[in-house]
Amino acid sequence: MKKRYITLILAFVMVAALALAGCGTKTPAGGDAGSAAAPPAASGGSEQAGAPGELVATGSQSDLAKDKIVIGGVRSSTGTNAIFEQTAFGPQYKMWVDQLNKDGGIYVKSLDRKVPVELKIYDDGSEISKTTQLYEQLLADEKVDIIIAPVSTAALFAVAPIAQKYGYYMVAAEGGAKELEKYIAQNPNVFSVLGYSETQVPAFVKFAEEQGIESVFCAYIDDLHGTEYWGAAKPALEAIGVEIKGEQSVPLVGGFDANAVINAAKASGADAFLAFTYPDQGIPIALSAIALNYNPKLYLMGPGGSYDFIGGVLWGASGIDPAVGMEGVFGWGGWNEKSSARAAEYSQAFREYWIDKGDFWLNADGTPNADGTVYQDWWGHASYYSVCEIYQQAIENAGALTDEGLIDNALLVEYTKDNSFDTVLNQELRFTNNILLDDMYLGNIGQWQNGTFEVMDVDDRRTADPIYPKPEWPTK
Amino acid sequence: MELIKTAFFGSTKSKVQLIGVIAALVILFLSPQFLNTYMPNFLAKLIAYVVLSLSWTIFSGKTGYISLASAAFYGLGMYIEALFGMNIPLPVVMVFAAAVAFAVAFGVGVVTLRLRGVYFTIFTFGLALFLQKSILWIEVKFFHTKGRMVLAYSNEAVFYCVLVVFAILIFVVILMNKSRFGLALDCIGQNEDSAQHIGVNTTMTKVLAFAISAAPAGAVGAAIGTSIGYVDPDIAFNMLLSFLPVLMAIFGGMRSMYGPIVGAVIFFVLQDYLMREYANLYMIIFGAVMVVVILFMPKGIFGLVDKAIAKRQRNFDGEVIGDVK
Repeated sequence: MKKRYITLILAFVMVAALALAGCGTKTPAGGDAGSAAAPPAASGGSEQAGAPGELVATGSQSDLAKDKIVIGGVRSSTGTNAIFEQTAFGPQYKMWVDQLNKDGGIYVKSLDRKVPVELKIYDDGSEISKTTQLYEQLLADEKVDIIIAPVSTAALFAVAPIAQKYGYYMVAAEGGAKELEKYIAQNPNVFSVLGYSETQVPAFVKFAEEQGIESVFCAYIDDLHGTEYWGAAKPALEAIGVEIKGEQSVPLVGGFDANAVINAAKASGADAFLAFTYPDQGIPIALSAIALNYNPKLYLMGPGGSYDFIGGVLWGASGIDPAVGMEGVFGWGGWNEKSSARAAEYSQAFREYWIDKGDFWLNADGTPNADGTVYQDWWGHASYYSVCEIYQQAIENAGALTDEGLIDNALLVEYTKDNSFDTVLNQELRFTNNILLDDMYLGNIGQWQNGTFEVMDVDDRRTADPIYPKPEWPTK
Repeated sequence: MELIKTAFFGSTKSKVQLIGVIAALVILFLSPQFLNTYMPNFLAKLIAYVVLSLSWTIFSGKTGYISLASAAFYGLGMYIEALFGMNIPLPVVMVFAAAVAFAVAFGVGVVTLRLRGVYFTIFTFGLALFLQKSILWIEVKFFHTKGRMVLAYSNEAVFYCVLVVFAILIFVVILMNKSRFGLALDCIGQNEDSAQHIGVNTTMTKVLAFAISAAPAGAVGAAIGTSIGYVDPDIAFNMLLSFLPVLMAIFGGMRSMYGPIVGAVIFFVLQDYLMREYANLYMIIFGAVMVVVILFMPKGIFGLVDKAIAKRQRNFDGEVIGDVK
């Protein structure tokens, strides 16, 4: 008797779970719940064949009904990658959407009018299994109009096939890797904007050759970023005769002894110390270098080294002016207000926007901003905002609705492949095989000089003469 | 053959159970026809949780040896799919992943299942970490990368692959429960020394059960890997997956085969809902729910069901029937 109840309960629970999960999610009006989720072809001339001999004007109905464009995304508001959502692409897309809506929304070409934009962002807690599941939900179930990319290179790799599977267009911001070239070949709806090892490592190698650097020690993070950058840099440096005096991996998750890393680097006597790490590792390593008075001729911090606030984090507690403390330190990327008039205009607009908001940004010591100071990332921010501009210009110039009343992502993909964009990064930004070549960037390597992150590429993008060797860390 | 007859047709209860299980599987099999394209993905992950929970119970639920190796076997499956999935069809890779997980668990079991108590638990947790760090070292050292792309399959394909694993597992569990092997495991769980005295080869029984419980985890790991698209050691060997099967089984109740299933279903749906709607509070709410369940429902949800049924029968018959402790 009892078993019968149990079996019935089991069947009930399964059916209830199915119903609960199914009921919690709705397909957009006009959508077919049972059909494949890939957005169909554009309605084109706003007419579609219905029954034989009959024309149904579905396109125009969709056009009239379109009252918002939903931008979906899964971002890491919590967990290991939360710093990137807080400081990298996060402030850009929030500012962009806010500005668009203040101006009436985004202009959609086929509608010939502006449509307000709504953000639908989920938090993945920095766990990729959740990232992929939530994107599946956004694309297959909730059917948002367009999507923005997730946080981190690994998450981008995981999400690219999902975007492709459902026919969505995605311009990626916070991910870059050589492996991505392979992924993009298989997922041609995905475009990558951020500089990566193929653009940045050669810039550093050229600089090393120019300055006559003879030896290096590298600490690299044991994730895709660190292994790939060091995997590219090591043979390239050896090829120009630079001696590798030591290398050490540091973990992405979990603690490590930063003093041990610096002591090993110090003992090696290398000219240059390269930290191919994220801020969570790069900051303790730099703090150890300062504490142990490790003064190589060149000190390169990985991602985070180009943040305005990094000087405050490293020097805020010492009472030493962060600009003095950071003098001569290198980082990836590189642009500043001298790079171009467009870059200067964007930089000032960004500061003004966030000063006005005043509730988002962080102080140098990581506490919530109270004084209205806004910090730039002199690597990524130009790229991240350019992503927003690319989305906007693609929709403005090629935006049309599908029969389901969604933005036709296939048209955006085609437009992006074939056209150039007026962006902060480059006023004629153009993709080559869905990635950006070196000449699309404002710079690939930079150095802090008197509080400005100067571009150090060995070409006409350079904005100041290099300081080499780096001055010793200041003491009080 | 006799065992199959007894397990599935031996009594009215067995027949009802068989009909119920087949009905549930048929509902699941047909469900993608009636649901939107996201649901097979959701269900595949839900069933993967069910498989992890149920397979964990095969060994740990019966013997009382707490294994934290689920993440190791699941991650092995994912990595095997990443290595071979580009050239070999998913079902074949899943069989291979199950075989590798079985072999690894068998080897680990032979070495460790002479240990009792907390030592075995610590070792199994260490196994997942060991595999994670070893594979990471190999990737970095020899391939200058961290992870690998995994060939994506349609949501339906992944769902049906996982469903097949679940179907096989549930029939295996029913057979095991009616077999001498299952009885031996129960004996070990109740008193291992006594089991030895009555002639049970306790070490071999435990090793075999541990290996059997690892195989489904490996198989579903391979399948779910395809829905993630990219696998690296941190993603594959997610330590949370070592604890989740334990929590899900406790949540549902371990006395019955259905406890871990119901526990995993509710656990997954709750987790999914909280993660979407209350992302910032998700872990707090989830943790609070778990604490309440463990404090007030030590036998899990099925413990409550048992209690309710017994109460109803007591009212009806005027006497206590069944385990209501």
